[in-house]
Amino acid sequence: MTNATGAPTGTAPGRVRMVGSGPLARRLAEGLRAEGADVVDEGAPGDGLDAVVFAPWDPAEVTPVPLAELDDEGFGRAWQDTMDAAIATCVSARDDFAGRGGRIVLTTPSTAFAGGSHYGHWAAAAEGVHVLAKSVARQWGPEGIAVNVLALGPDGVLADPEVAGPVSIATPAAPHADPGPVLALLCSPAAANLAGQTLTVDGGLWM
Amino acid sequence: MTGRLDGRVAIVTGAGQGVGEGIARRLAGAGASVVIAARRAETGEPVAEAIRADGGDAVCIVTDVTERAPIEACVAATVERFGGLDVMVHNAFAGGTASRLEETPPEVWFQMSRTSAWGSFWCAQAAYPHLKASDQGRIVLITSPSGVEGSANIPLYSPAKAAQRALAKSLAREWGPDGITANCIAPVAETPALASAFSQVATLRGAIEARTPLGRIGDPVADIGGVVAFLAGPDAGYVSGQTIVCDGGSFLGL
Repeated sequence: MTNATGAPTGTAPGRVRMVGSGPLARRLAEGLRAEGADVVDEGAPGDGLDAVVFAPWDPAEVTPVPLAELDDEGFGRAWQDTMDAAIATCVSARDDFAGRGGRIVLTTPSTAFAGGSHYGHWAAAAEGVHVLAKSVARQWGPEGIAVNVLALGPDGVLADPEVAGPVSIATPAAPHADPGPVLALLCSPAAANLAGQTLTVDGGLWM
Repeated sequence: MTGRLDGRVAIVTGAGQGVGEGIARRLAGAGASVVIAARRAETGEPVAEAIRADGGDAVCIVTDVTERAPIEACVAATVERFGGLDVMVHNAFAGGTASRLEETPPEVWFQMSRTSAWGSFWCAQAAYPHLKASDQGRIVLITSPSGVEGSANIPLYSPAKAAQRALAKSLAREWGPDGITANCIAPVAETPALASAFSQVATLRGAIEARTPLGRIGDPVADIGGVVAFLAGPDAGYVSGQTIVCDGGSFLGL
């Protein structure tokens, strides 16, 4: 489907690669399938790929450590490994889009914006991913690649959200929010009208 | 020399030139004892000498912020010489070269990541026990407007700088109970790096000045150093987890 200018349009998510194997990635993949997406894993060929979702966050790994006690391995696993994987995900997505354009969605916990006590290493990684999306959106937008961010609340992403501290001191606005339909939109051709945007689906905490 | 930072001890990384030098000069001018933590003595020593010539108290400690050990050694030497540490300013940065993301050499990303994110982690961690012992422990990380809005020209510069903001917010939460504040500033200033860019792109200075409501590029001492002196001083004791953009009003995205 195309619009009056010949650009692809519509809100069908199409063929989507999910990068990540933890419970968050599985939950997001289920949500995408419910919206009609053909979700494939990292090992699948890139033929006909429409979108790539980066969702590496796994509560089993995203654990709190007092910064004063954090060793280099722990900081590296959070900051360096996450960023290296995010960069590689973007570059391989661009290769697989092969000049046809496409959508990249980087997910991040709202800890990126709010910070988190004992979560400095993961907050750094989360905000790094958040702003990487803006850079890549600016650089690859002219190629027809739309890069945006799906931000999620800390529940189901951080091992211990209570330790991190409140994302907001305000009242949640939408406690039953479902990221699936929003992610599907960000994967769809309609998202070509967005660039470097962050849609936060966290129950209406972070605004 | 007397000032509102009398008796305070500060480390400024990357203080051999540019923004770091401006911060160091201003902190010293306000009465702080300042460690010029520079990668090379050739740049750091003259800054320390100039501060001393103006009646201030400064020493140069050669420090490579891409490794943990030199940072820990710098902090240890600072505490041994001055008896404590109150203010840790991490400004040093390297690697900001324009490139396509898909063509960015790994070593360029390594430099940016190490000097910005890793360097902030190591500086904060090494300083922590001394900042906790201080009655006004302060961490100031030097980020950039690009760390908020992304960059098409240097795509990995932005996430490297963004990490510092999230780290500062996290430390504001975590070390607030210890009386420590953690903040960022995002400066645009006359620096050797900017001068080099101006020499390569003749229209760049005019373009930056034209987009800046205040119509000029910041002075490292007066415009940037002054804000760090505020954050390091007694008037900013209730400010934490914030980013102050010091760019003449250009970037209004916070």
